[in-house]
Amino acid sequence: MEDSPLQQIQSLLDKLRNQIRSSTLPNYELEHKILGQGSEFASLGKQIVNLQGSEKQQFGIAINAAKQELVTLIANKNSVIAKKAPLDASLPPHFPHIGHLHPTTMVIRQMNEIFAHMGFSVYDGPEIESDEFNYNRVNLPLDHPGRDLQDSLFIEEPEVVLRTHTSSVEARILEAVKQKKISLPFRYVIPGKVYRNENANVSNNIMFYQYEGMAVGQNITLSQLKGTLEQFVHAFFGKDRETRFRCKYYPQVEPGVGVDISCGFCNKKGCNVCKGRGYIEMLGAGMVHPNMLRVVDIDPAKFSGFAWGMGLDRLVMQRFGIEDIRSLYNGDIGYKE
Amino acid sequence: MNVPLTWLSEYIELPKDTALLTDRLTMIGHMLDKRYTSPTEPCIDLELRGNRSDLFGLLGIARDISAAFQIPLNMPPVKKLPHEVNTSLVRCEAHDLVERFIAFTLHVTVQPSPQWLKDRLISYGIPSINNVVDITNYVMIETGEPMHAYDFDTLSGRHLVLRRAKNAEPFTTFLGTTIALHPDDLVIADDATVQGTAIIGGSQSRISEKTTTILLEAAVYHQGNVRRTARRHGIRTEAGNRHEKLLDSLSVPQALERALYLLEKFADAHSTSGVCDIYNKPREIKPISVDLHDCERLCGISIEKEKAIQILVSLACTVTQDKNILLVSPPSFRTDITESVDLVEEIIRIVGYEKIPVSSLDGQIPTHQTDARLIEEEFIRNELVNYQLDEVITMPLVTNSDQKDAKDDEIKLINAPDPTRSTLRPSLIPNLISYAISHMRSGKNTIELFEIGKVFSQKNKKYLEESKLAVLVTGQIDTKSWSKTPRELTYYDLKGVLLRLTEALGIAVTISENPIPNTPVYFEQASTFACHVSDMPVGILGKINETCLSKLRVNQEAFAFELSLDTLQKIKRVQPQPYILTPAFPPIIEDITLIVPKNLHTENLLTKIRSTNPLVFSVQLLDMFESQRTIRIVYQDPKRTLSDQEIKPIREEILQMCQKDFGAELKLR
Repeated sequence: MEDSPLQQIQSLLDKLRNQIRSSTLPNYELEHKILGQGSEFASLGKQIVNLQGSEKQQFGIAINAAKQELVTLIANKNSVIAKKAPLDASLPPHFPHIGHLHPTTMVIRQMNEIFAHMGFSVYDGPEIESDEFNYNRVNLPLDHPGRDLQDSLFIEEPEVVLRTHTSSVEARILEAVKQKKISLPFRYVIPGKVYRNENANVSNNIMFYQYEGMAVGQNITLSQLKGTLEQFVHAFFGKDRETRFRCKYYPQVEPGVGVDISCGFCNKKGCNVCKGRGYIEMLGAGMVHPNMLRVVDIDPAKFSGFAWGMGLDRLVMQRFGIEDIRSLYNGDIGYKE
Repeated sequence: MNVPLTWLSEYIELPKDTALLTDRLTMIGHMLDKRYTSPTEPCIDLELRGNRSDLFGLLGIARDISAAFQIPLNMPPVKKLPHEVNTSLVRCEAHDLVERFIAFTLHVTVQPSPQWLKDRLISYGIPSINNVVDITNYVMIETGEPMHAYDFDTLSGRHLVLRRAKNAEPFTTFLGTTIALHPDDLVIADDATVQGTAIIGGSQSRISEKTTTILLEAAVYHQGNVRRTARRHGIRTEAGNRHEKLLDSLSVPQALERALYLLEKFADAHSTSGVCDIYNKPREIKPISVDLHDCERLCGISIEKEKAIQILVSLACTVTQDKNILLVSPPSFRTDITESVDLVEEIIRIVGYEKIPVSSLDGQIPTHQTDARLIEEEFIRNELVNYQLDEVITMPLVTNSDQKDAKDDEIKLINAPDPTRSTLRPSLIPNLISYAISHMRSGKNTIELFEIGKVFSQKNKKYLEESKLAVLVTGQIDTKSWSKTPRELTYYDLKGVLLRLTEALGIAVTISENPIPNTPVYFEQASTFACHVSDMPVGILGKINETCLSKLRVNQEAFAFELSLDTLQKIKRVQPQPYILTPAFPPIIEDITLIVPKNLHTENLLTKIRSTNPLVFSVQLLDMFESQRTIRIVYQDPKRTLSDQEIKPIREEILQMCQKDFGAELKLR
């Protein structure tokens, strides 16, 4: 004899309970299989249309109760599956593996950006230079005592050298103006490698970096040089650092300026770091010497410009806590893993 | 330079507060290096400008203080030199090296110097010898003009000759060392031997207690020649340092007058000859016209005419006016002032740089652009760091190749610090290899380096530099994690970096199918390939030479490529298109395993499969083992779900193509 509708619900419920228990399907799939369109349960539920009166009512109640039970069983089951071992949050993380820029590149980029805000583009010139562009054009003729301070590395003596300063690139820019490849006014920064015949030690290396800048045009003044460099010092070192501009001699400029910044350690009181002076020498600057303009047919009575230059490595070393300049370029710098 | 303050105060009344003095000196161009105390007086050490010879005498410093503080000078007493002219005392045979030479003889009594004189010299930092020598040094420190005394009776021929040295001519300095002179060295000699040089005096004619007659001289020489002599022999002296600068030949007589005064007073001296003054081309001081508007035009500060004149006069200039133009004759001892802008600096520095207002660059921002190559270098750095590579910057010199391997396109430095490493690098690879090895030795497992820098070569005496990029990888990755498995870095990682990078640059690089025949140094034969863009060679990539590494006791494979960034600049770029719409319909994924012949070009096979049908979305090499290749093919249509029936014919076509074009057969179970 056939089971009654209520009996059918019960036996299907048993069967489905077992199915749920032994299933390994994920929640939504299991629910679809047990209760979804085309399932046995759905087909059984449709039988309600064949019933009448109190039988229909009872069937309806029973089928709903069965559905509730099945839904709950499925939900609980997956929370049982989901309950794996709790997280061990004490294990170390997987750090993303990243590459690194060289510390000098980081500092150059920051400086380039600061000066880009003031309209400066970036320029570079040859590293092998002639005596003409490395010395004569920057107002350091042969026999000038200033040449002594820069012992050159020669390819041909004295005609061909590795450039001893980025000022040679200033001379190249001015020559490009003469050749009509660059027009006035211009503003350039020049980060670059320079080479000197030094005894390498903790603070000196035969190759190091300088950061040079130059702006030439009409009505460019020492007052604007002060403003430009002050903006740079505040952006690079912090707004609390003060600048001091004093008279200092460099062959390429006249008037010449030595720019110091207040000591970050003692705030001008004097300490070991600033050798008691309260200020630290930062860079050399000044108005481009008229000889440099005349030699490229720029009339110094109509045009003027300012320029500055600084050694970069000391800043890089200070910023990143590196104590030996040689380690920047001999492979000793590694990166924390 | 050391400046004893009590001594200095003889020439000018100093401010009571030394800090006030040194602060101002720092601002006007003479920075305070340090303060110290000698046994007898307080001193300051000033950093002096190299182009002002007048500052290397205390009177020069006193003059600047006088201008800065508006305090009058007290010039020290002098005694006029004899009127008589002598022409035989000195003969000059090198007029190009001697601007002026003044000499005369005196009878003296040599004794120890008075104590105050000794104290002053010691405060400065020079030892006391005897009164005559001390007075020459004293006057040098006071005036900035070096001078020398010779024991006249030791001079053979009783005269001096100014000439060039003979090759290797010996000279014994008063310190006792003997040097071999050079034909470009100027010497002060007698008939027999060299008695002195501009830099240092000789021992034979030095002043001793036995000396009764001296020849006193002061001179100005060709500063470049003195500089060369000093560097050649490595001798630095107080006199030499001053002679290397542009000294004022017009001031020499005054310095000797001062010496004469002191010698008369403290060495019982009286002159015994006329004055021999060799001065072929006396200096002319030309007046300079200064437009005061230049203070505003160049410095951004307006200076009143009266103020400007007052400053120039306090600096010992003579000034005449012509409307707004000043005609200024600088004093002869200011050999550094030659044009208008030098005088603008004088005015501004005495006014004080701190008075110049601070302003910003104004006007049109220049339209100049940073060169495309420099912008691209930064882009490349960003890309490679994204690919997990580390940037390095290496030195420009490499070890010289052995004689037999030396090439004629190499550039060598004449005076490299290490003569065995004097070649300018023709490639970035050797230094990357050195770095990699030192990292390996320190225990690093993952080494992925890149450098952007210049390499150097020469052709027919033309020196060339080229900007290149090099990448080197060696070791393993995923070694540092408790849940990852390490794997070796291989040639395929390097190839991926190269192709992904050039793709991002909008360049289509092809790598040669066959290894290049002439393997460059550092690379391994038969494992090095050429990179081209169309026909243009742009670089090479491959395996690093194993012998090269094993010589350095390294037993690990390394791979590298080097590209010319200058060449890449010439190539027209295509805008990369990295974005696609995510397909909305699920794919069909099939893995097939093929048995392939020995010389199969795997990448060509994959490319051909990819291009079989537009419904082939991607093709990946999933696994490789001997002659087996397992390939994952993903079929997908962005507009609908695909069915198996649709895929079947495409799969058949693919398998047929593999068999026909590549001899690759489906693996049977």
